[in-house]
Amino acid sequence: MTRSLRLSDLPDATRAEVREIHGHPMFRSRMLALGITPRSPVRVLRRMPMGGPIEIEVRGTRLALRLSDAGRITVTVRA
Amino acid sequence: MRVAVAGNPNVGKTTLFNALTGRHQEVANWPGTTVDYVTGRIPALVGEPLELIDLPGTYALEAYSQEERVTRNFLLHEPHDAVIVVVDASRLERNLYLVLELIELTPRVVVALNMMDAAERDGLRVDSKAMSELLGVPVVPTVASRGTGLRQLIAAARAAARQRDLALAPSPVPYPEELRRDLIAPIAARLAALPSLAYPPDWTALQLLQGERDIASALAALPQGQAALAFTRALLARSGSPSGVDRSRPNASLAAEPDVADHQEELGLVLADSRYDFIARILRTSVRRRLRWRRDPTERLDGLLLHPFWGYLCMAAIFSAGFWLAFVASAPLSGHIDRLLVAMGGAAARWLGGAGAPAFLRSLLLSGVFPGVGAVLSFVPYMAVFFAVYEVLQDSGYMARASLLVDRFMQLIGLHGKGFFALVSAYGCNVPALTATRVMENPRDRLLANLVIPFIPCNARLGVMAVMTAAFFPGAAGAAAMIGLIALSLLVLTLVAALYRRTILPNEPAPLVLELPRYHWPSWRTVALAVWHRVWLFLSRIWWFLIWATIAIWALTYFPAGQPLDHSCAALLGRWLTGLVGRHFGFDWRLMIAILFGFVAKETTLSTLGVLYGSGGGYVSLAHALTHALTPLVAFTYLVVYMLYVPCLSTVVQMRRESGAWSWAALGAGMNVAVAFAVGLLVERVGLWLGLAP
Repeated sequence: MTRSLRLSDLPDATRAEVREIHGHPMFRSRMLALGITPRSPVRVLRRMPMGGPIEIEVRGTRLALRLSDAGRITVTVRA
Repeated sequence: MRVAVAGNPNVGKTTLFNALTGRHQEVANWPGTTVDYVTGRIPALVGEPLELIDLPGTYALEAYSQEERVTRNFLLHEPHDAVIVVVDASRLERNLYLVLELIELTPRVVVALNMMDAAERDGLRVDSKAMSELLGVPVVPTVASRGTGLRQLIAAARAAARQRDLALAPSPVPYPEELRRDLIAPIAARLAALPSLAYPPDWTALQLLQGERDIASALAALPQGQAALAFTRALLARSGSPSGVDRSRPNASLAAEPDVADHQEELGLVLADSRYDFIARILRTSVRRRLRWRRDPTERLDGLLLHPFWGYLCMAAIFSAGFWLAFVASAPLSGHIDRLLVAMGGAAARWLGGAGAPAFLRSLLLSGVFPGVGAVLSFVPYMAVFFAVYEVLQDSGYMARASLLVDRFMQLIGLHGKGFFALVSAYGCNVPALTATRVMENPRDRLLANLVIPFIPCNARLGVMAVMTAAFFPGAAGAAAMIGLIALSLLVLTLVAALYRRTILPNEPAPLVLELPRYHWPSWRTVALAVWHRVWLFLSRIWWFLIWATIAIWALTYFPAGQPLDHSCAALLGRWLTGLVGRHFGFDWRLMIAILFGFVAKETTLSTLGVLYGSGGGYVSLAHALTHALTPLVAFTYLVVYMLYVPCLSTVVQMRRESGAWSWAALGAGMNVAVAFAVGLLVERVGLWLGLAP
């Protein structure tokens, strides 16, 4: 059983898989180059205060994304 | 032989480059951009010397920032004999993506498997032979910071560069069979038939399938290129779309047929997926992982440095220490240089006097040439320390953390977290702060930062403000006046940024996609070379302007020769300016002249005022002379204007350089002048309305 949610809503330290990437083609191709592709495992490491960016780990790399950008990425979690 | 050095950011590429080339380096600017690049030479005992080009760091060939565009354009269009691609052995999964893209583009690639020591500390054993076999290109393990593997790397690069007519091997990436059969192969065959295609056909076909617009438009310009494009589009429209991928994308306006654009986007995902599948296979065969029970030091440090409370405290401490070093600790050095040049000027003038040279020549040397050279050289100490601090913060990985901490707050003025350091450092000096805006990838973000930074009062302006507020508003009133001025500058900065965002720089700040690299000790050689390059670039740009400007000021005050100061050309000019603008503010000609001359270097304002008000010297007597000549309202208005108008000549020259055009620098400077006098007028009128003495 899996459920899908936005990366920005993913609880910290929960393992998930990237499902879809929306948004401007430039943003999408950037995500691909940084290793955020469908099926890649991802988890949220920490959040900055007051709706600041989140830090995620994907393909052995740590990246920071703004909440609004993370909202364009959907992920699936094994429930 | 020309060999390009490419790689992801934060893989130790520059350290490797410096270790390879040592001091045999030259720094230059890519034509038509604001991107600097470094070339280096490796002399050879036999055969051709090797010329290495350090390309800006890039995550992928699809360019995103101006730096990445430079890298892309170089690899696509500039002649080169081989490419060294540097990868971080402990971050292979993402690093190999660029390697695969390069292997598909050019036959002579050498992989430098760098940071092997960090990988070993992580418990990773990387088998470079197995990796080389799968990739089909040489893979050389290196530790750039210790110089390990460099000789083997150079040998491999030379060997690759010598194979001039090596054909491009078919891509090692196993793309889905039906994709190869139905799309890649027929399009590549069609492209291969074109008489003047500059890129490999397979690679070009892949670019067209992903909807890469640069390549499509380059192709459209070729004879029969249009037909090949139409062929590609027809094939794309005919082939069924792979299932399971998002089709509900709103932004389809980029291609002629939305279906084709959608399909291209899906194909982009499929291609990226195949590449990462292949990478996973490489890692399975060539990397052995031993379990380590040690917690990653980077993670431990981030627990503190990115903490919602301690993180901000640490940032304040780190930045304060950095700025203290750059702008306070280095100040005596600048003072020494200044005094040394004044003494040299004096000695030269005396010597000329002894030799019977005319008075004006002596005066020119004493008050024109030597102070000009002094103005140029006095930049050196704090620029050098500033850039050293900047490089250390950048290279150690801390700058990315600081950007992350402040991004939320920087968005309030429409800027990126990466712009924070530049904005804060502008309180020290605007000039290097403009250079520090380069960390932002998006040209629009960078331009906006460049346009608003001059509204931040720098060290020199703050000094003048401190002396004058102390003179006119003794005690607590002085602190209040000073805080009021700084708050006013912040308000103006926010409003001007909002104005720019609503008019000429409308789009939202670029997505913040920040890699948080592992912390590591900066390489001192990398820091030293970067400081040297930046200071040198700055000086070579600025000295010409500064020396001529100083001589112009000297000429204005000296001529007509033999007359007292209030009959000089400067006084004439000052009176004219007073009639034009100054009288609305209560400024006399001396204040106008101080504003005008302050443009050359703000540091000179106090001494100019001292000379003009005949106070002899010293801040106490200057304060005394000023309080007699001006009312507090005029003084405060003057400080408002002084704080906000064009910072200085060096800033304008630097702005032209960072924005890439004189028109941007002119707009920025014009905005500064207009806003300064408008706000000044407002302050003065409000003061009069409150009943303060004019």
